[in-house]
Amino acid sequence: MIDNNERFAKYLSGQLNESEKKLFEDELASSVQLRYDFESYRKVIELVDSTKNIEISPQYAQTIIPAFRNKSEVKGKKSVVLKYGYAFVVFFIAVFSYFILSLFNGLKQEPQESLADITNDGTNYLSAELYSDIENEFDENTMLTIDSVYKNKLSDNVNEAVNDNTIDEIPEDINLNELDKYLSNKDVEQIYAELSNKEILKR
Amino acid sequence: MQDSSTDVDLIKSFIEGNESAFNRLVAKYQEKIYWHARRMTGNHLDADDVLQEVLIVLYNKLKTFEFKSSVYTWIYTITNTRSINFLKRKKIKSFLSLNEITNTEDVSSNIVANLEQRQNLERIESALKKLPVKQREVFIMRNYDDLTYEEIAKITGKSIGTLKANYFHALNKVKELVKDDR
Repeated sequence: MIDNNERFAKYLSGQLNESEKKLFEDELASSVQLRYDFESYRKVIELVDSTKNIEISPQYAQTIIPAFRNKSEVKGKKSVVLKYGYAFVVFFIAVFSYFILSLFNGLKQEPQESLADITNDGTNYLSAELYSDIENEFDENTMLTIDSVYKNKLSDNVNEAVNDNTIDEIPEDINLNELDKYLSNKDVEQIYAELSNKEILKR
Repeated sequence: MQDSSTDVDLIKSFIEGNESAFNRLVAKYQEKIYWHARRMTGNHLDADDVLQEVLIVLYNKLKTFEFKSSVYTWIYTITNTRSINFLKRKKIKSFLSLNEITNTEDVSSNIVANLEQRQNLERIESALKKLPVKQREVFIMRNYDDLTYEEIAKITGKSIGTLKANYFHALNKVKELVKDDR
């Protein structure tokens, strides 16, 4: 690439020696294109030079550092808020987790309470009255579903009790049909409530 | 590129906890930072944003300055990088929000009091804005900051051949843009 711009720059800044300067001026005199190109270059350089050393107004200059300090201050405050905000969130999560775990442990203990009822009270079974209510309310297929859910619930409770070693007296090969007598009233009410909910019947 | 022991003293003083040393350093270089950012971005509001960004970077990184280069070169490099990043962000924003109304109101009159200087500034800014950023960058560094290709290569990380090509194209475009604009 032929770069006349470098020659132009050297010529304008007086960096060409006498013979180079003479040669350039001769070429300039004989070439319209070079003259045109040189004038364009000179125009740009003059424009650049006229905007090279502009000073910003003192009014603006005086605002630069205060603006920076204000921003830093705001940023610092935000950082504090963020820092304590994170601490608060961590604290909240810890408390919430503790609450959830407590609740979970409480739920896990429920079968134990039921088992206590099972061992202490042989009358804890689904009452004939309650069963009759269910029978009247639902058709045969629904009753089969109810029966299945009911037995699953019984099975879950017993398995959990066995796994937790909270019950020794129930044999592992127990017939599921006999298990309803091991349910507490609370379990029965819960099962009934679940079954009354249409959602469970859609399973 | 200039440097002086004063810069080093100011930085050491700042590291020791003297906040006013930072203010003095800023006062010394704020015009250079502003004008490089202004030429790169093409308007006062964006240049002011870049300037403030640069000050934040300086404030946070001065403590890790290793005195391997001159303070001015370091500040100049930060300003250049921040200006380019700013332009990239601005371009992305303009793509994302088509209806965005940008405040391009010219507030040069508040910054440049001299009418002729202001008019010339508008002419050159108008031309520079039409250049790709890579060409604009090398044009500014060559013509306004009188940097050699070697110095520009160190700052930008580009090869001298690339820089020369970019400058050649930049200069020719600016020549075309300013020749008939009066």
